[in-house]
Amino acid sequence: MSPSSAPAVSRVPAVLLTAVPAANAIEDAFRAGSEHGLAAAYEAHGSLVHTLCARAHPTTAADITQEVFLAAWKARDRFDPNRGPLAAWLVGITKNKIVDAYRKDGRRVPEIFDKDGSQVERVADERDPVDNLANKLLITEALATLPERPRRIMELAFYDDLTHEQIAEQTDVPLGTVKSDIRRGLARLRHYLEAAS
Amino acid sequence: MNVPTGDNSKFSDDAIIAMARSVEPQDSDRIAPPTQVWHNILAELEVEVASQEAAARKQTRHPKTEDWFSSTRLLSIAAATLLLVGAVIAIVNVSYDDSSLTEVASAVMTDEGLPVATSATANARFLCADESCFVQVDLTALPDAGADDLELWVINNDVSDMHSLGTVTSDGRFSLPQGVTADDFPIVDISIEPRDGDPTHSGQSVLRGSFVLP
Repeated sequence: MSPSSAPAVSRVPAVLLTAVPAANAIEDAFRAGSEHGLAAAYEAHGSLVHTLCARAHPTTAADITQEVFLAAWKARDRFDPNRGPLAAWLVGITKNKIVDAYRKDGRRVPEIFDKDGSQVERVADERDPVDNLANKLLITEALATLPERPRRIMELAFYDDLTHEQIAEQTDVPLGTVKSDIRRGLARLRHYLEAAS
Repeated sequence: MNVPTGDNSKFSDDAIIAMARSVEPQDSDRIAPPTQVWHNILAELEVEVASQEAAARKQTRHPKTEDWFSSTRLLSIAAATLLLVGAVIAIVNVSYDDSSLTEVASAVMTDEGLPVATSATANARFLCADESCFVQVDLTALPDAGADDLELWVINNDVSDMHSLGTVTSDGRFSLPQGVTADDFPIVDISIEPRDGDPTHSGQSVLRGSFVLP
């Protein structure tokens, strides 16, 4: 094919100069069974998986992390990037492996994994505590993928409990933008949460 | 917070907000797996491949299937883990039901790292028939552009040149100007464009991917 003779565009927005993220390449390589796919997935998401294991089943966390990646690699054909990110799919597998580990131990899943244990509640389903912890980790994971402005706005809404109007005032971002950032941010979070459930 | 409840699913807006408010600072901390875990994974896979190879040797025909987890490959993979961040990995996907078309490259488009977030993703394929090429875009959903338009672009690597391929209102095919190749214009981008008469890119990208060549 002949080289392009199209004229250059006069104004290049600075935002376009940011590097194209490699996350898609990791997911594609993993799914395709490329020789670097598993290594790439482990490099990108090993800490997320291991954190969930270490907090939910500390005694065999390393073994469960290992099982998760071996199981994920064998089942890589079933990973569909349209249904959600690889991180969330791996968390879904991790939750199952943690519940399995408790069953193997003949132990009941503890009702809460928080250090102080002060807010222990009775739960209907033994999976609930694992789900709750996984969801919290996924929320922090998903928020970290947002660009700076929407991430800051989401944090103010969630953690500082500010209203849309207060956020607009504090950040000097127009109210309409605050609202659309929150709407899109919630959609991103839902995408992660649903893919792991 | 006055957020409308999105739907009745398990993850309604209210449910997500409640979950997010229960997040504690420690939930952002990550614990790296011990180094041994990765070595064990490689060792497990090696054992598996060895037993598959042994089984294959028992048959008269030696199938030439997945032998990439051999020892030398394993070493290269172990080394690669240290070098992976930012690596772009080629994926070949040449399949299209219309036999007169050739899929030159494909890209998965997401909002990662972009100024505008969306839960939609898209698959973009660079297809050619004889001299004419086009980009086929398939979206999981149309990103929310409000009263503005969504516009499809192909952009070159150093962002010194780009072409608008048109307004995106649904999945579809977008013709490429003569001479535009996936090699020269590897970035495929959908932006939100205000109807302000300015034909240049607004900078408000909502979906982006890189064409990966075979």
